[in-house]
Amino acid sequence: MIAAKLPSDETERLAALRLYDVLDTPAEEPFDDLTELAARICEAPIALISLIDKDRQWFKSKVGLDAAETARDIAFCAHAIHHPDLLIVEDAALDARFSDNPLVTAEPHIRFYAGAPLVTPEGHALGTLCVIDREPRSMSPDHQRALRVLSRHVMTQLELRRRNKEAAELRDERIRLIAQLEEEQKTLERRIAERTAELTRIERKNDQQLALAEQSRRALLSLLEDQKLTEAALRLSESRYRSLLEMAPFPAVLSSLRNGTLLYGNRRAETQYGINREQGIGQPADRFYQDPEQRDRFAALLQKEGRVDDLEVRMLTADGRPFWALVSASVVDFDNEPAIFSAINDITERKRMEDEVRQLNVELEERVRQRTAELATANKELETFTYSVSHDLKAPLRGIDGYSRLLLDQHHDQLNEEGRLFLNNVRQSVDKMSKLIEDLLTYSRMERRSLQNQGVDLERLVATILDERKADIEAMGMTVAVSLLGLSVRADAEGMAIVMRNLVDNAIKFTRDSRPPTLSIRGTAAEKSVILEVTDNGIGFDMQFHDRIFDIFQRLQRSEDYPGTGVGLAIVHKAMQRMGGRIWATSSPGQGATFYLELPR
Amino acid sequence: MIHESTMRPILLVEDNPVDLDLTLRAFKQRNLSTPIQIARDGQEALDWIPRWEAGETMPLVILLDLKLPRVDGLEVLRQLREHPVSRALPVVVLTSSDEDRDVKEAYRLRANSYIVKPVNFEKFMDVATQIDLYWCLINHPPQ
Repeated sequence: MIAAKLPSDETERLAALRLYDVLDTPAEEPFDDLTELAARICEAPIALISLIDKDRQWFKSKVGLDAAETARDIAFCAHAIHHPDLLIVEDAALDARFSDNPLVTAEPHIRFYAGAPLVTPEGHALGTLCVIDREPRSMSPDHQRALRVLSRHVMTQLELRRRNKEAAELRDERIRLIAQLEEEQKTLERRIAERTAELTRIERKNDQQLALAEQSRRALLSLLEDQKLTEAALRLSESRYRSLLEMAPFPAVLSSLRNGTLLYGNRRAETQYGINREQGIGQPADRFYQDPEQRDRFAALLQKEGRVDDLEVRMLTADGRPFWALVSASVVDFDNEPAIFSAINDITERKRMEDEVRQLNVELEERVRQRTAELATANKELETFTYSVSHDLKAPLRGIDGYSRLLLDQHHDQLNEEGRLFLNNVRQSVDKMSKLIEDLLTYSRMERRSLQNQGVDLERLVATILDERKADIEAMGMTVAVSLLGLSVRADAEGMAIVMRNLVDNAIKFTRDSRPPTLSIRGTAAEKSVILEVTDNGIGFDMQFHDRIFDIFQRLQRSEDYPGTGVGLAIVHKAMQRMGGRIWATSSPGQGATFYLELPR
Repeated sequence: MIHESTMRPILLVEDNPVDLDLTLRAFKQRNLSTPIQIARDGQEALDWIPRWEAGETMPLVILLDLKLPRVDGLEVLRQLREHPVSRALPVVVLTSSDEDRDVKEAYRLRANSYIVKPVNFEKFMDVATQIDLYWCLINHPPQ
């Protein structure tokens, strides 16, 4: 037996085989179909797709054979991959390379072998598609061609499989990246939230620290004052207050009252403002003021008051960086000499925030001003519009109604009954339109007219309105009960009349079919307000529509059933709103309704 | 009491042809016999002033619309009140507007009455009748 040599491109070939990532994978239909086809076409009992691995041949697909793989050194296919075209062994028993091959001498007793190499686009033969017979035989050119074609298909399938796999990997990678991005974004958002919270905390802490600093300063100050009491006490407390001063949680300095020289700066004064033995100490204190005259003013204030509290002043650090300082100072003894003890807190950040707030306020005011101007213009336009409506919209209606009436009157005989009906309908429509315009004007006026705030006698007002509606009330046999004795509210008389008139009309309209219709108007005085209840026993409404009934043009009933413009309760609502009152209602369908009005007394 | 003033006319200042026609018809429908002079805008109304000064018959009353081309109704009223000849002439504002400011301004300029034109023609005819009855029959105008 002669084992096949290793191909010259073996390393690359194996690498290519790894790339297809097909070894030891389960059977796949496209490959099995191709082997099946090869076996059938070539009329062979065995067909294989064999891939030549480093030490073995592994079968991706097999027909007529159970083994999954064999050693490479006995593999026919290891020979076949050396052949650019087919390797055909007509009788292995007669071939020196294979005659004693165990695959020939024992199962599966190979006698005939034909293998077509599976060559990658780069030219590496990965294995073969081969057909095998247990009898020696030859192979027709047709079969040879078929095997070549099929082997190319196997290669195409392998290629396809690899690409699919790559695409899937790419997709997985994308999904992973997106997930990662989302994760990072979440982290970022969380960090922003944390940072915001931290900033808020710091801000709060700043305020707390300022308060704390002030507390400490006062404590120190009282110590400093105490130490004046006795020499003994002085000695006892000097080291104590010095260390306290040194460790104080706020920047503090001492300067000579006599010549204004800086005598001492504590630890915080060094870290925050760079004041130490090398720079600052021994220098005139006014050097630390952006405007040295400020120092004179400060000193004068200190002389006069004996202390300075919370003075805001622009200062400089030892290396000349400007900052806003909040200074509190008092006069103490230091080394047997009067000195100015100053606590100097950096409030630059606070100032900046204050400036920002101020700037925002300016902007806000500007916007409010603009908006007000816009509103004034809009109001003016609305007024002009309303004025035109009252003039121009009603004039054509008068024409329509007038000529309809004249037609009915002067051409009565030329019109048949239908013609007269039409004209009457025209006039009814005009009437509706006219009412609507009136209501809209009332609404619009209620929106913009200036209101009086005067005492309104409710009893008299309601009596007047009921009197206006007397004819309707008597005609429908309505029972009216009024209980308003001595009650009055602070309101606009005209507005209040419009409210009550609309509510009475509302009750009259919706109790049309009640037997008998009833209307009750009663008032109760609370501490600061009066609550009026206007109750009818009409058709009521579903409470889910409560808010809608006060909207303009909202109707819960068909207009042919209960005529109306849909503006009445909107006028009432607007009037109550403008008079600083409230209106609400309770009702349920078929159970009547109660409107509540609340107005200041 | 009926005065000899039956021949003195009404001066109707109205630009809208429909309103004008309807007003005339309303008078006719109710058989009101007061003659009606017509001014089609504010300027035409003011053009009457020199003619009255020259001795032409003064109207019993002026029915004055407010929204008029060229010179508006309130301006007409102001100028009427400036001229001695028309200073005391009864002026009834007859207009579509029921705006507060119009009412106030008209009375400030010494209008004698302010009537909002009804949309409904029956009511309009009632208004015409009452104007005629009151201003042309009952009222005693300055000479």
